[in-house]
Amino acid sequence: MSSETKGVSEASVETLVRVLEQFAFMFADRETARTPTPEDGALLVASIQFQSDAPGCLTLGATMGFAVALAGNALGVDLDDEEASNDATDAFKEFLNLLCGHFISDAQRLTQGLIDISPPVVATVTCADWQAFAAKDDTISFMVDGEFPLLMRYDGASSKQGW
Amino acid sequence: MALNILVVDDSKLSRSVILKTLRLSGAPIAETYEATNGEEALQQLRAHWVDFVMTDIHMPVMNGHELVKRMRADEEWKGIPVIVITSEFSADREAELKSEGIIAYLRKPFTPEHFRTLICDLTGVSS
Repeated sequence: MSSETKGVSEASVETLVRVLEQFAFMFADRETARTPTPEDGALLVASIQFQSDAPGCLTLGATMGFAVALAGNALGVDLDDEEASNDATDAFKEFLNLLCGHFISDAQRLTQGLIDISPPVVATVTCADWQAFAAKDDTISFMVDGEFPLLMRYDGASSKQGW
Repeated sequence: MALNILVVDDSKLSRSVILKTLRLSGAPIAETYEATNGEEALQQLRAHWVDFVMTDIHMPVMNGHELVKRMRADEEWKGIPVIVITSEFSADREAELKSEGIIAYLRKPFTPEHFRTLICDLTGVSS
């Protein structure tokens, strides 16, 4: 990973923490140790590609439990409310979309030029996929609200999915 | 005067959050309508009188740019204020959209206070 990419990745940590708090009033702490693979529930990975003066791809990994909590908090409904479950995947994609927009202006410091953000793509992945994603050198791990593991990776050299 | 507002976004969650935030803002709102893209938005405009349109930019079928262009080309709709709500910030994008006729560019995530201030400023109607 280049020093420039590393610097952008570090700046993206602040962006993720802030956007998550503003969007869903959830709090992320960076984990320095490798996050253990979640044992319960589906594992999701979402990617978003963007074209700008510095194109790239942002990828997030999370549990379905995180996505449900994200939807519930954003909508202001209980987590066991049907609306939170129904909108969980949509909430995860929307969070990545928000993160990407703020990442470009804040971490990459691009506020000029035309930016084209592709629709986020989300998939359910296996434990092996999750572990491979978590093991990459430039994957950053978080723990959200003390219970939800969250992975983030920025790939400035590729416009392909980052896991 | 209460306002009729059309919210255009391909994300159901995003529309729900915008509508919920609008209600929390205390802005004077009568009816709200929803559309998942620009084409559906035009159908809603044909069916209902709308005071404001709040739209995303990146949407399938018809994006926000095309929606604004179609509205500005229509005698009946060209005076309806359009607010763009988007996650990205680009001064060039904002300038481009304003040249196409939008009146405000609001960045997600937003708060009820953002909406109340924006709507009250634009309409002169206080909550």
